Amino acid sequence: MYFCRFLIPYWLHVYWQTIRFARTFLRRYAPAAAGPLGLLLLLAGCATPPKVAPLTEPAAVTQQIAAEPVGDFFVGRRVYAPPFAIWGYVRSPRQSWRTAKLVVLNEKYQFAPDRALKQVGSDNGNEYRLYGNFSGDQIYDASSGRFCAEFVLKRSELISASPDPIWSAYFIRDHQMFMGWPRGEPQPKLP
Amino acid sequence: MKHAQSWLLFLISLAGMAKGQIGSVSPVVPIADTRHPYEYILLCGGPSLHLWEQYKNEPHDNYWGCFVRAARTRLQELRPVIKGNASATVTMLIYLDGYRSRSMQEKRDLIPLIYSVRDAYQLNLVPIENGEDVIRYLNAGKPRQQIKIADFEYFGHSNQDAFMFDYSNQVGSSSKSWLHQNQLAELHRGLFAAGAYVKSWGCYTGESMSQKFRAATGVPMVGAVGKVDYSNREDALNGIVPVLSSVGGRWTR
Repeated sequence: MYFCRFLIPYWLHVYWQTIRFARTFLRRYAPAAAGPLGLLLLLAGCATPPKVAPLTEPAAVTQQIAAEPVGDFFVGRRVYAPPFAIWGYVRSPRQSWRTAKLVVLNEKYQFAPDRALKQVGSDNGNEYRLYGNFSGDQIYDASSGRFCAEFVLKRSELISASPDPIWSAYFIRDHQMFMGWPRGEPQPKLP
Repeated sequence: MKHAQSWLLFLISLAGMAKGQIGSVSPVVPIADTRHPYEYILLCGGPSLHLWEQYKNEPHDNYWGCFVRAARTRLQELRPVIKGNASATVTMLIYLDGYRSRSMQEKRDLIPLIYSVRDAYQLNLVPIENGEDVIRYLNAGKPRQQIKIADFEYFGHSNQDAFMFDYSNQVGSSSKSWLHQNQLAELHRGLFAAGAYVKSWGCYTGESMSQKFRAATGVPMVGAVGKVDYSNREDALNGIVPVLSSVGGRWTR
């Protein structure tokens, strides 16, 4: 507490120096944006992370989704990202991947496909037809500190072991699935 | 002379606090008397299952009772303060569901073994389901105007943000029952006795949750920076003493 007396002025100083630097930089290289409005926009842009996971949906994938059969199942895409407990993204048929929930599987009825084969992680990126249901409960992923939807798995069928990619090459390495998703929070909804 | 005794007691307490673990010289907790009836609360999470842990390099909870045994060891240490003291209530809040599912792995019913600790130490054993139960009990489990909490200690799985009563039990490497630091703001002020001792014996609590606890209650909570290991046996107490196990690990508040 005692040291806070010194820290607060220090952080105010750092904050003010950052703003001064930004204004000087903008005046030199982009004079039109150096006014108060430009500075405000710059700061607002820095402070607002994206609200949804950066899944990409190429036109080919959108067409495949539009032609999907419907039924009493979901479509899932496996994301193997240790040490996180997440299983992957799950959405309803004919719905965009942008609506998918990042789930933790409850395997009390049925093991996940890779675990059933005793080859955990061997199916990263695979696309499945999943039978089961969202329990409505949240599960706390201990490693990521996020609350994920619980999907209770009853059965699964492999749709493709090499589907068109819906995330970038560094998606898992850079933990992009948690982009714009603070610790201690459930998955952000679509804006 | 009286001042010298006080200083000696203070130094002994300080040594215990600095050591910050079971087995320290003396339990550093306020002592209940007729004018100040106190409650001493031990909160116990449940163990994980081999079903999920078998895939890890270092599976957790090889022994089903690591948390209960560690809590019992702490009770033994608190005995000089609580034994025969009618003004002291000792309560164990415990997530029994984790022990029910672990019973299947152990091929025996663990619940009677837990209740045997209750009987041996004359505890008030309260099963809990989740963090809301814990908040509710701390706030109103006893009339808090009269009975303040003198000691509150947690034994179980945790990360920097949460106590995880269920961990790798219902679902692998994750939790369906927790007390998250965001819930601590629901705790009322004035629950704790002056000088109350609060400690989490779980991993990583000191990295965030301890500060949130203090902000919510005004009472510091000792917590670990780094991991805590429950496999350390204390022969003198015939029990388990959790110890820091990370390089550079320390207790903080």
